[in-house]
Amino acid sequence: MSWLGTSHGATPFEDVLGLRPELLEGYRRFYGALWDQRRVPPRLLEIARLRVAWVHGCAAEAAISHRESEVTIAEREALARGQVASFHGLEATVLEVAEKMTHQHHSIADGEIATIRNALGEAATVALITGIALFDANCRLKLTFEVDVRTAVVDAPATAAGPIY
Amino acid sequence: MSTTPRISSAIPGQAAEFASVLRHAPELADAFFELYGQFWQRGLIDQPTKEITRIRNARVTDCGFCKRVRFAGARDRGLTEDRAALIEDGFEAHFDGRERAALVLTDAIIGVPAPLDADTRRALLEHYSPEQIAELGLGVGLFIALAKVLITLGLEPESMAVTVVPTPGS
Repeated sequence: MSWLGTSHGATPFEDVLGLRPELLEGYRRFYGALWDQRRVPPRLLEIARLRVAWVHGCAAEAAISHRESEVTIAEREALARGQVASFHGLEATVLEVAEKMTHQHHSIADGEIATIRNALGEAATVALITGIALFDANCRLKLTFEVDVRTAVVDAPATAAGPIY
Repeated sequence: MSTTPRISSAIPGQAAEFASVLRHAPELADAFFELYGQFWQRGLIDQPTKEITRIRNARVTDCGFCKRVRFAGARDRGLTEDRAALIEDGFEAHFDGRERAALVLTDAIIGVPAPLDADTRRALLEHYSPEQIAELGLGVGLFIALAKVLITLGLEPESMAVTVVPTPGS
């Protein structure tokens, strides 16, 4: 249990965020919309989420698996070790941007965003970059507040109706 | 860093800035601005305290836009520009224990995140309830995410004076 205590939420992260129920509801609608809206292929979101989790060493985030994204166990292990050579093209660029967004956000190049934009379009690029920024923020909060690690295979890491894993 | 937008405005006739670019994904834009307004207007933490954590994040994350914006609610409640200028490294000497605890939490979240040491936890819990700390934390999470979206999408201004704007949700 987090040192902040528990609000008896549906997940360990919601135990903490649920200390402020109105804000939890709002954050569900925001972060959940990312997973509900389907602008970005779930697999892209999932590999970015896992890479960000492992850059931060955030076991609470990495313990969650998005069933539909079809990221294999071997790929999850590769992302955990930072061995991203098995990812190519757009996926490789997304992983590079995701990694930089954790601690080197000023070093992201025009060409990297152009590669994503040309492949996905502007709306999906906005959603993807917003998503990576939220993965980063979630990991930071989970580590600072010592959110419990609970392994789960889920339909989505979040939905607007909740919960947020 | 880029000061050339990497994504166009989704609103015809408007410049590419955070709100007009986020509008490409209206479900995200609507949910974000509703949440952000709620955070600023109906929270358990006063606006000046939230504002110093926002400015601290802006400076450490080096978000040119965020650094130069000031929210009117905090300004009206006494957070002057002279005071805002003190939110630099070494802030510990210039803020009281309650403000210092909020700024130390901010640095912990936006630096290399890790469990807090016992003294930092104790200082936080001396000044804030768990509900207030959760609110502060979520706010800092939103600040750093917003700053990184702005920077990554090339929405940094080339130059900008310090500008007081209405507090979100007002």
